[in-house]
Amino acid sequence: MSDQVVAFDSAPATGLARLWRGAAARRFRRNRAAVVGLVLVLLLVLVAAFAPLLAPYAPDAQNLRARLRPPSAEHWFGTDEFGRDILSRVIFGARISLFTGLVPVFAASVVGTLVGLVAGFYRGRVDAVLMRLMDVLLAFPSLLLALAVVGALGPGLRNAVIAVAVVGVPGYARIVRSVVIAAREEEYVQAARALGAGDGRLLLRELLPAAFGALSVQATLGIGFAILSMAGLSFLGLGVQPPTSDWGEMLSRGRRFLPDSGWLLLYPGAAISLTVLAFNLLGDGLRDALDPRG
Amino acid sequence: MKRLAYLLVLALLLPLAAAQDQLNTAIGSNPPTLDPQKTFNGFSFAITNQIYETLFVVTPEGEIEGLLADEWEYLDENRLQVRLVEGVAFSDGTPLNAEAVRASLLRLLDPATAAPGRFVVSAIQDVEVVDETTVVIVTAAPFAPLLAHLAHPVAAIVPAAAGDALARNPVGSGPFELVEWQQSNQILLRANDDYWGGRPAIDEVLYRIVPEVSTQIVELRSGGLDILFNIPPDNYAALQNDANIETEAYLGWGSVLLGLNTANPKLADLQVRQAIAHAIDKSLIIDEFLSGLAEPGVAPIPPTVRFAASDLADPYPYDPEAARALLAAAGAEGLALTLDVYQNPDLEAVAQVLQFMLAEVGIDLNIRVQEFAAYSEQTVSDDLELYLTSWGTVTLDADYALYAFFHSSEIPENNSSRYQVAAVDALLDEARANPDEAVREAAYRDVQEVVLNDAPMITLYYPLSTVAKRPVLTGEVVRFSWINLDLRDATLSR
Repeated sequence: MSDQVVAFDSAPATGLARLWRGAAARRFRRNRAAVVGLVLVLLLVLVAAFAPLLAPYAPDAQNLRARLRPPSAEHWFGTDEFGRDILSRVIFGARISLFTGLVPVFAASVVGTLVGLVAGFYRGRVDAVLMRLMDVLLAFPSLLLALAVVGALGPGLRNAVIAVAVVGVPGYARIVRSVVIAAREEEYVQAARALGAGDGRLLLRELLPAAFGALSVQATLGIGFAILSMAGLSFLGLGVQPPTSDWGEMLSRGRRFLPDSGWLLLYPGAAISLTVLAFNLLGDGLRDALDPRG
Repeated sequence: MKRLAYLLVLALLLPLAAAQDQLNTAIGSNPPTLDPQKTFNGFSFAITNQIYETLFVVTPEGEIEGLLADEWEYLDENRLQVRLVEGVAFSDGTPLNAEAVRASLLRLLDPATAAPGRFVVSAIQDVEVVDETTVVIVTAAPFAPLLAHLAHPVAAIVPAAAGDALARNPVGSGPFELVEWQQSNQILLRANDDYWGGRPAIDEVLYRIVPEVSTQIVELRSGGLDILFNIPPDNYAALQNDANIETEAYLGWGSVLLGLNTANPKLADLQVRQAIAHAIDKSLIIDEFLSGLAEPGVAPIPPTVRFAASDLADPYPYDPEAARALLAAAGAEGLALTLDVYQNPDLEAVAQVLQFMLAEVGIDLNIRVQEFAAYSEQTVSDDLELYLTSWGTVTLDADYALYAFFHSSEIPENNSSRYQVAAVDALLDEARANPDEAVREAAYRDVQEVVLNDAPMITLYYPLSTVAKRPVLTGEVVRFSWINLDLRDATLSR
């Protein structure tokens, strides 16, 4: 019975809005971990949005006379090697992390969806070529591929975002393709075709909405992965350039002070962990809610 | 059965006993080669300096002394006759004689060798063999700093016939020889039993390759390492307070400088360069950021280098007000500049401090961190603006730094500031050619004075060389830099 509900919920005509009000939303609300994830994500968004109001100091303001101070009432998270306030940098780092989580995922999902739609719909040689291309991308360990892309384009925030986006494309392509292959034989698609719908209409109005559920799960989980990858690239000095606050960069520079000043690593490390955890909880919750069979 | 057990115990103890006479140290990176002529890399030199020897060395007091050279004299201004120490052989048994010295220097000079340090000996035109132990080194033009250049690690005497094999299987006349090189893991040296100066007391030296400085320090504290060099300033105090560790900080041959490309339209105006100099609070960097482990610098070369004009006053001391006024006068408000720096945690940090200090006077600084090869490419490109560099005046003679930085013939590779002043060129040429010390001193003083005022480079500080060791090691000598660790008279007492 529930299968039919889902089939009905994710049926193309209903769209995301109605789906959200339906049984899936009820299941999501009952999943405590998922709700915690959602709350954490919302909190992160708020912190990022109001960073200038929340941060007690300017994130780049140096005070060389107050270097490497442990946490205190004045500096809750302590200060770094330049005497910068770590709390302020962690708060401003939320902006970079959200940006670097969302932008590559958005870019990758758009490109991946297009590839998946086209490959799944036309099959045959188009499918073979596109998917072998995706297999090539998948064949490389993701961080290695990102490193190669940054190596080719040069370090910097923009190129790192491109790199992480490229790495994400095949995942979306494969998911969308599999949904499309199943859906194109469905009666409603056949009906639309019989009524004279062209390829474009079939792809965008009938098949794309069918993939939304799976896409939203993959994207939410992808955000956590993207943030982690970006932090990794920044840690290696290939992402955000100084003096921009970035959690990965803070970890990278802070590790030199590990023996004596652990707080340099503790807070940005905790921020990365919490953020990735939040998006993963949210993603898992979405998956469970949208696909109760899984 | 019992005897077998004894044997087992003995077998287990034996390696421990052997390890008693092994010195353990660490370096941060795998050396690219152990052929001293094929590299300009400090990690290589740290090892090759144990295995090979140069004709001359500079003593900790700054005097030039013979090592493989026993006696020497100038026959005329272009001909230096050198008598070698007798009875020296490479560790493979071949004699280190006049023929070997000639072959080694000519190999370094040979363009086919593609030696990155060829310029160190490029003044040499030929090497003549007089007899078994006497050579005459001929220069095309008088070259006053010749002895100092022959003390450079790239000028080490190698058995030229060994050719490319030296990279992996080094053969020298030095106090130690290579036992085993595990790439990116460790390099083990052992005492050269037949060393002409007497076998060193230390049996083995193990260089472990440990990239992470914090790991190196933890290992030193726990006893896994006996000696470490180049301690980051922020870790030094903790080691200083450790009762089991002896530390020492002393002035080496290094300078950290901010270069300004005077050919770039943004920096061509002297007022802009003066403003940048005025904006930098050197003493704040030294006292706070470097925890006092540097000396304030005005001249481009530290006082350890011969002919450094160490008494010159800073024409542009820290004065942010003056900096802003100069920028306004130059019509350069809202100036945005790019600072190039290569991947090095210390320099990257200094770059960020400069970024903040320049922001205070209204200059927006963008930092571009690249690996060294990409950085070097950038410094020769015309759109270079500011660059941060750490220079070691390895020969300890002013020529090595001043000629490279400020002679127009060195544009753009070493003179990346594109500094071009005919009078300075003339002074540098004169000081290079004239063996008269007083003439050289006066010329270098004039150069440094002119250059300070023109500000194509701003000396930020002279970093102190640091050593931290466990007291088991005594008698070692470190000449100016960690790459010159001399263990010939050192002993280990565990």
